[in-house]
Amino acid sequence: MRAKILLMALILAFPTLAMGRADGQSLDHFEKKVRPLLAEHCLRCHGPEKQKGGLRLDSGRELAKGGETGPSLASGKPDESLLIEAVRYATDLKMPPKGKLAEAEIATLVEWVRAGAPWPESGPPAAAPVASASGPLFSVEQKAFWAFQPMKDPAPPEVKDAAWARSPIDRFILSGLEANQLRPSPPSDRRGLIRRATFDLTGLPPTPGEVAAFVADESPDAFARVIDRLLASPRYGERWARFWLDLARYADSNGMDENVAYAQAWRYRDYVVAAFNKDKPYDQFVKEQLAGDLLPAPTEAIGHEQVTATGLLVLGPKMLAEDDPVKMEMDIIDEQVDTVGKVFLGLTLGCARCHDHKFDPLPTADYYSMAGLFKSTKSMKNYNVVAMWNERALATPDQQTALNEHRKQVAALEGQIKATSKIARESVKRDARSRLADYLLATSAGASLVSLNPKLVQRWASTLEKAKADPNSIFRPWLDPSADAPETDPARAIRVKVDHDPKPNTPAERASRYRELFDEAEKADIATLSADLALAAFRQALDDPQGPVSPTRKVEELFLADTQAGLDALRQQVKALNEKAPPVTEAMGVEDKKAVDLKVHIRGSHLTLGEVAPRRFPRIVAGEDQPSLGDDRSGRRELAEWLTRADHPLTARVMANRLWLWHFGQGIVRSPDNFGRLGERPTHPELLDWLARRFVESGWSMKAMHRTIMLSSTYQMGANYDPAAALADPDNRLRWRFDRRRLEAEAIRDAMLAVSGELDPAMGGTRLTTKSHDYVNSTGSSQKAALYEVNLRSVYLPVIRSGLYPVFQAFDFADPSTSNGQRVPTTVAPQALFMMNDSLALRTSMAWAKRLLARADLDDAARVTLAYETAYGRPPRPEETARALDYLARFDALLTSKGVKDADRPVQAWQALAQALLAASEFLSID
Amino acid sequence: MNAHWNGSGPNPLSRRQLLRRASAGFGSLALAGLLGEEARAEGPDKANPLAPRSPHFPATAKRVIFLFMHGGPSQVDTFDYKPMLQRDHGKPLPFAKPRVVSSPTGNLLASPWKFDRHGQSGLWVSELLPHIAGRADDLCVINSMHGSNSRHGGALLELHTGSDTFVRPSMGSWITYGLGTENQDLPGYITVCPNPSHGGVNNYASAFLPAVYQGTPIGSTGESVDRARIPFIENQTTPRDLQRLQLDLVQEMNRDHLDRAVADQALEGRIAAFELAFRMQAVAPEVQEITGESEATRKLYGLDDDATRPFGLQCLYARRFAERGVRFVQVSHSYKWDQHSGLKKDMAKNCREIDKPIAGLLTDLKARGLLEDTLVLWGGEFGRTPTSQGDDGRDHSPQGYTMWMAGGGVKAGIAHGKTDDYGYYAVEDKVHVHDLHATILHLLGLDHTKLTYRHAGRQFRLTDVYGEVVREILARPKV
Repeated sequence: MRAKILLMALILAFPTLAMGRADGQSLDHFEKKVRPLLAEHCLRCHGPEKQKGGLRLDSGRELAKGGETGPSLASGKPDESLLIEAVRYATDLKMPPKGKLAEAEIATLVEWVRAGAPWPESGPPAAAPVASASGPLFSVEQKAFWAFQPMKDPAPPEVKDAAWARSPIDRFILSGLEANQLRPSPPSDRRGLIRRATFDLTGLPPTPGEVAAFVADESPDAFARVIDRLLASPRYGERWARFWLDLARYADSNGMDENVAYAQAWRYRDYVVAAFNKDKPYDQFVKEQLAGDLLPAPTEAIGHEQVTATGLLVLGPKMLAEDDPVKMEMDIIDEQVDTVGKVFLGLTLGCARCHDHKFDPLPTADYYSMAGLFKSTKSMKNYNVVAMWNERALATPDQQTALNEHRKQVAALEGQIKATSKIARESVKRDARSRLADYLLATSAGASLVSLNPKLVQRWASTLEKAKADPNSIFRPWLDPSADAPETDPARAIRVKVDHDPKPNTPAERASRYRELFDEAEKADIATLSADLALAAFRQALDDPQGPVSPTRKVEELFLADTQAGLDALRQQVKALNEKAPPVTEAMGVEDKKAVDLKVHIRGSHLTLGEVAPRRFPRIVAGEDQPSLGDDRSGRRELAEWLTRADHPLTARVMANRLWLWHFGQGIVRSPDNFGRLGERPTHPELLDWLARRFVESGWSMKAMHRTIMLSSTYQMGANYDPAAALADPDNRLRWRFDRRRLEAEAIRDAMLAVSGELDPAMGGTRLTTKSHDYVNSTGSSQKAALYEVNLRSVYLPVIRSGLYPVFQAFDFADPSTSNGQRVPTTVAPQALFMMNDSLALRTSMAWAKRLLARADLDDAARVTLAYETAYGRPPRPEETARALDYLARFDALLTSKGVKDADRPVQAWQALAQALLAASEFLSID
Repeated sequence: MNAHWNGSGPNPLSRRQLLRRASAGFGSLALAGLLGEEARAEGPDKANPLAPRSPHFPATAKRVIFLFMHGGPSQVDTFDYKPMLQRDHGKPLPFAKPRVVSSPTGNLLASPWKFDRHGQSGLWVSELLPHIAGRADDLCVINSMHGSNSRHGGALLELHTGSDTFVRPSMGSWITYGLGTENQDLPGYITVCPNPSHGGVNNYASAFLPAVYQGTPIGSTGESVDRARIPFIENQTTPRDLQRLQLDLVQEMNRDHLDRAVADQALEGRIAAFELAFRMQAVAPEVQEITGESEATRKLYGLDDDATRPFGLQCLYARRFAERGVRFVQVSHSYKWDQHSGLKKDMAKNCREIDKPIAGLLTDLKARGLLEDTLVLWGGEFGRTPTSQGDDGRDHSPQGYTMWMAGGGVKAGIAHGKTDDYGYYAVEDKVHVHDLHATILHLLGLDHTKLTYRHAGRQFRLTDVYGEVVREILARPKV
């Protein structure tokens, strides 16, 4: 036994040992047949120039060693050899890819392998090459990369203009500016500042009253109190949740292929809004989204909240109609790994699915280690076409008990239905097959046979009816026993077969001939059928699942009346039960399932598996020596705990950078989702570490970070242009001014609604009426109107993947098919068309015009002032008032020339002015 | 007006300068900075990313019209004649079916339709498509297409974007990114009546490419073609002169804002965008205004027959957009080609709806000298099994199916590649969807391995790491 194992080991280690001895004759065969074949069809990709898949076929040793998928040969056993499998096109590995070899060529190769695959030069094998993997996993340089170093706690540098530096942030920024002989821009004026801060924290413009109060407030902490007021407003969470939802690639539908509703996704969205509003510590926020289902829950409400948070892992884009369930599962896992990598670690883990990451120290094994966590997590209920994701009941213990009881009752009844149905099915099938001749006879006039299933008789009748129109039907000889034999096949062959000696003379004889032929067709093997057209036709009729001979589909239509009645009664009971099912809320969420470690998928394919990659975290950060995660858990909770360690080099940095980015429009690292080698380096590395440290020290409080950032002089700078600075630093990397920004799609819409007085402040819930897993494709205008022609804040509008609200799309809403840390604003013509023509622009400007005109206490000049203050946070300059009044007059004149009535002209002119104010750049920009 | 408004700020730009500097196509005036990481020297003009660009090498096609048959038309009932299938009707398929199938199928199902050779070339076309058969000598039929996905969603995405796994830019977006477009008053990439299912917008979206390059949908399946318009293009309430007055006010306010902040390129772009939008409002509806077309042309496209009118109108729009320099036009006949059952009835109906309009389009393009440099592409997301589903249907099959091209520098009157004797698997000169993409780009003068875009840390291309140009079908293979 031992010797045998040793021998096996030797063969595995030195596969060429197993190759056949090359005698003269076989060598001749090799040189004449095999080598030319390999040269012609294989060596272009598997030769001296290219070694696709790591495989070379120009030497015996290389061939035996094989490539990434393993040894190419099992000597003497063609059926077990990968090479033969590939050329036979038997599996997914099909070679050569351009077209299958001729059968004769395949036979040549098979023979050669069977003969032991002799190869002339195959001398004694050299020792297996030392795997490069036995060296250190990561180079010194890879380990020294900035993002993997522990966070430092740098002291803010000394600066010359100490008076300008209000906060440590300012000293980091100013020191950079001073080193480049640049000056920070003068501070923003107070109107500009409160408009900036209000849009920044709430996504809405300040009211004229709020602006006036701040302008009048001369106390030193006036701005700090504005910030506190804004942070305490529920509007804050509605604004900041949206940033996170971009990262979470939030949407209310799966949107890849079949577009079906994630009808429960909104619960996750509301969770995020609430988390920001209550300043949920970021470490807790991370833990809940990755492993909320595994965290202790002191109360039921907290438990439900935590389960809801794991919706992050479920609501990604998915292909739900994929015929290969293994591929579907791996694609879904891939999407999870990719998202988690980018969102929390700022690493493009997804790039390591098919090969080691080309630029970052992320071996493909690390990818599969992370993928194992999600393979051990239940995110899907099934992988059918169309697949269903996991939804979890959010129930009280009593509800849960009631629900369990209900489910038990339903299950029992359904079991009964299934059993009854199964027995009935089999009985129908047995009857149909065993009394075939009787049924056939029963279709001919005059025949009356008792105890036949009348529904099956009917099916026979309709089958024969159809056969009348088909000259090739096997039932033609039955229908026309005396007709002449047809001339063409398969009709001819069928006729010959049925009338075959002895020719049946009576309907009864004929019916039994049919039965014999069906029996014969059933037993025939594929070779017989290929050779016998008539028999093949019988086989096809036999196999027709909806046919009368051996029905397997729509069988229930053939059940006897009393069986059917019994089933109907049972189904009625189920329906009644379901109607009074205990109401239970469900949320998208995950749970643990059997823990498994994945094998590395070579080139990302689940059909070519390599080494096992034990579940663990990326080794460049977590180290090469990690304790096992255990067989009793997925490891998600451990992942969350590891990510939120105070000394994690990435988590706090990545999030502090995001917060900075969402305030300034650019991060300190300008590639917020990629902290790897191809990402950008921080413009202010010390500042980044200082912020990340403060973030952790503040108990991961996001509101504390807002205060810290917004109270700095850096944040309060104006947007003024400085030609010298622009020349020295055109991208404003040193932050010499505040960058003017265009509002995001949501803020544009919300501000239009707010300014016109139409905004509905109701929070939460969903507008989507589609049920979970029902299609949301319809783009009918009535449905669109129902979903979007409402005045709720934009965060509450449904996000339909691959069918976005056109207004969102026009203004660069983040593509919800992928995690998105930074939107790219564009300036495109459809935006102008939207402002000129869309119903939202028309109806909000009309509502606003009516409100302004309703102010009987104001004259037109005062109305223009109010309009400017409402839209822009400032009064108009005198020339602007004059221009607006002039415009109203000219518009009115044009309307008069068109014969518009006196009573209608003011509101039309004011609507046009209001629309122009909303369309203008100042409305869309924050300075 | 005082001096302040006249633009006497530190960096004044006249209105004309502004327009010249930022004149750009639809879809956008994305300006400096928009292109983010994109920094290759030969990248698009940042001031106008839709400006026409030279290809990598001389092109034989300048534009593409893609006639998309959503659902998966059967090859063995249209362009892939299989005498053995006709002979062996009812017999089992004599070799294995694929590992993964969409539904189980039975024995071989002969085509219910007759095939004949047509034209000088003698190409086989079934009796379902008599008008297209009349154009046989213009066609370059690829009988050996194959893809990787057997479901509509995955296969549509694969055909349109090259990936059935991830969201990637669509073929039209890549092409518009590579070449820009020739008419700056119209979108560069238009898709007429796309279907919202099976990937929906992802089939014409730009994904990580700048938004400028995304397809502009005109109408959608289920909407009447007559009403299909560019989004937001119409304003029912404001007459044009009033809107001009309103626009002048907005533009004055914008220039005013520009003068105060200075050096705001996005704002310069916005000013130009408003002018463009206003122009486009005049130009775009004119393209869809077909009253000027002659009676003969209308008949040629079958506009005089209710069965052919909807798709005929789509084809006519395609010609009118192509003629005006739109780079990539897709028209969809959807989603009707999914004959799991009702093959006899529905194939006949579908073919009738498209046959005359497509033949009309080819005839018209040729008569106008446009076919020479317009690549017309016809096909669905996959083909169908030669084996039967039920007694009158065929299942999806990406294993071997037919697409055809015409014009744009492909050989005319040839059939390339083969499926097996029954039309199930592509076996000879196989052309994968990636190869098709590589070939289309090649015809447009683009090297598919060089048309790249940097995103998320790596270079992406339409063909990922795959694709080989099918040189055998090029009229000028040596280019």
